[in-house]
Amino acid sequence: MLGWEFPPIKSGGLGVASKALAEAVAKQDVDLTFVLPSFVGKGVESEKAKLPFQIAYNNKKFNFKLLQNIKTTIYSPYLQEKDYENFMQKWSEESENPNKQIYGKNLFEEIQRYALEVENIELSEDFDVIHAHDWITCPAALRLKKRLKIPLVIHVHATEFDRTGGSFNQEVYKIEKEAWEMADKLIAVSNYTKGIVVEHYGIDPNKIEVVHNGKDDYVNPVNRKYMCRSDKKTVLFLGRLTIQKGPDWFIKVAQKVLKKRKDVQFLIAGTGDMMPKIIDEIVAKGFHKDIFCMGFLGKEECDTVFANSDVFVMPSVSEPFGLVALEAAQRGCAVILSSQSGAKEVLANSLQADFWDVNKMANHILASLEYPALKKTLVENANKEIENLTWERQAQKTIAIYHQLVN
Amino acid sequence: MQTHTKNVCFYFQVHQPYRLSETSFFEEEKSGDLFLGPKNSTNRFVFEKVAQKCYIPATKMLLDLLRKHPEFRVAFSLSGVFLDQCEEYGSLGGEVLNLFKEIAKTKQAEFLCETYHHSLAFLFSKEEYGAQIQLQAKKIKKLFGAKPKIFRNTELIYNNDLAEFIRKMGFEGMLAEGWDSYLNGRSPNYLYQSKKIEIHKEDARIAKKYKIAARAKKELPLLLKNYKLSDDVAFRFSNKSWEEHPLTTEKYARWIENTEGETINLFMDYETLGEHQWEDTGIFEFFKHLPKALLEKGIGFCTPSETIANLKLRDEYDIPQYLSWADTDRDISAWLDNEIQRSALHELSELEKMIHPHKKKKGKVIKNLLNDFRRLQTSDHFYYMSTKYFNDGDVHKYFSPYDSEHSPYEAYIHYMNTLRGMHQRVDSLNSPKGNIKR
Repeated sequence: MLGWEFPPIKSGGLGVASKALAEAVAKQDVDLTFVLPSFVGKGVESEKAKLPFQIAYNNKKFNFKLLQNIKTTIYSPYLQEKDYENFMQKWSEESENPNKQIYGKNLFEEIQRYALEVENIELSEDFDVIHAHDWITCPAALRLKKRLKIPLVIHVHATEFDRTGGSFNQEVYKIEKEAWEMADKLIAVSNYTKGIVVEHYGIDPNKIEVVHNGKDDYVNPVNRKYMCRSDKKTVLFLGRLTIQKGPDWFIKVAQKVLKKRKDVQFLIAGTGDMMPKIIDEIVAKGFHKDIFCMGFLGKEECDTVFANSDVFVMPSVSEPFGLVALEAAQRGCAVILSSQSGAKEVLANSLQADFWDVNKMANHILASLEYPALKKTLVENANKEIENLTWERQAQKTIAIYHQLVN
Repeated sequence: MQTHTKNVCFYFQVHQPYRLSETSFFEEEKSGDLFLGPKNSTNRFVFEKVAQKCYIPATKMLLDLLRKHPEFRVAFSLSGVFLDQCEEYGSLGGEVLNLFKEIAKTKQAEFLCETYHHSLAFLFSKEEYGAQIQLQAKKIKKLFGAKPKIFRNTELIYNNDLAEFIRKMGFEGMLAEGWDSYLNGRSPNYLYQSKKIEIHKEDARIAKKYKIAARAKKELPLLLKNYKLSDDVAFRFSNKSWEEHPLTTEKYARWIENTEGETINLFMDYETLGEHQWEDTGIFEFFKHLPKALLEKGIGFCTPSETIANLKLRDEYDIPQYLSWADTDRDISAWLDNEIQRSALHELSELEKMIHPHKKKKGKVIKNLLNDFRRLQTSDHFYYMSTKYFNDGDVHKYFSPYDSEHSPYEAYIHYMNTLRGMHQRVDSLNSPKGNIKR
């Protein structure tokens, strides 16, 4: 497997899904080597120690190869670190092209260097299949396929269409399209994503399998110190503050709800390039006592916020999957999804509206707060619905795809 | 009258609910109609569509068959809210109603009684239940000339208590699902009777208050649906993966011929003809030839009343729990299972308590309020809130699960919002200067 991030060091959606799938695959009858850039930066050394560098599951090997010359800290497009923010800010100042707010030239250079390193990597075992996660590993995957002459599976966690709302960065688009055409099989994280890959990239639908992401195994509700008011109803947004995730739509919906009910607080957890704009908007409209930006939260903090929220809203403009929606349902929130999401395929027990339908979103929130039976039924049924959506099951589907290719 | 040793008893259910208009927290109390249906599929639109596909062609076909075969019989139950829609929706509605009146004139058809609003009233208010049955009996008499004597409850919901209530009201027979777990190996193709039990005194008083006949009969005869033969047509007719597909008239007539018993009760939704089974499945051709094919095999036809008059009462049908004809569970879980359905029914019965003291008042305001309140009791609203087939993770196998129009949660939201508006209207009745827009 070729990846770019791996928790606990980095935990964007890509990292979480790649790690969970890799571990679940390795626990079954598969020898797995996971190739990653090496991690550098402040505090990373202690985190690195937690990585399971070589773990044996059922006598099967799960190896990590870290590419010493490649570093990910500031170049991953999924990071929420301060460094990255500064880096991005610099870029957005230098250019008016909104796409350049997302990717710097250096990232492309980095991706090519990663590809070269992977191509020349020392491999002692025989491999049957290459499994590459998202576009950043695509050039590397193609080179490795050429060298090893084995089938290539590319896992599409997100497309350039999702990240930019349709105004493609041509360079990224080119990398995606070329690699997807060359790959033997694509795994899309939802039918929604498969649709985009077919429609916007012209890829043959027969080459694409859908394997939804799995839920994490959440057991104990944590309840850490909580800084928000407990006498108010709480509505939560949790995600990167980027155009893709629709935080600006969340603000619009919040304002609409607040016109009807004053006993509601809106929390925004996460950070990203839209943070300043969001804060400006809240302050300018005088909602600073009703809508709070909490910044980036760690895992336990997230759990605490989930546990104290009544409703979780995912107003994404285009969301390939949306693991966070499953997390919210598992932690007891009524879930409201944008119709432009893959999560709705596995979470029918949610309320849904088009991301731009502020009126409907606000109505859904008000109904969830007004009618306790609604929230209770949504949460109970959502949890029943995703009971079997385990990574183990999704790994089995993935391995079945490997077998198809090898035989 | 020629006697046959075996008869087929056809009953078709004809019903259209008044689906709710979409609601919003942001509009002030609406003066508009609460029952127009969703914007992109209004009640009028649905009615017109079904009229073209089913009501008009199917009723014309049956009319022809009744005229052609004097032995042929059919029974209908037309819900009051369906009849209201016929009267509301212009010339097409009028045409549909006139066709049913033509059917009545043949004297070969029987019109059954039910609750006017196709309601779940029995579950929360016997007063409402009795009143709606009486309303329906009057409506049927007015439109089709004969007072109904046989009762069929909403979705064939049945239990011993309900049957006793119906007997006390003066009905001469009732329809029910013939379900294996209660038949215990017996055949549904005979005339059964309800189990006589004592019901609550207050309920007995209400049954008498709304009685439709001077005296109640000693027994309540029951016609039990033969669900296998009924569902062969209603559900499986066009199913190509069914081993018996295609179902020909001849094959079906032979099955009935080979079925033991005195009365084969074929009960189904009228929409089977042309709407659930589209015309191109051959459903009309199938029916057109059925009366002749059966008559040639010495099988006759009876209405429910004729069946009861002709046949000896057999065993008791003992149904302590609720039984219905819905889903594979055949209980009331399609309408009353999850928390949102229970919450909606609870709020509805709270509203009943508020409205009850006003029922005897005269005037348009009360009349409209009561009519809206009763339309909210229609079973369909609760059916839309069912999440039974929503939880198994294989939701994509079911039709339109991603279409938020079909979301049980949105059905609940619109229902609860509408109830809230009703509460406000009742509140303003109580205030001395009640100022009501509607």
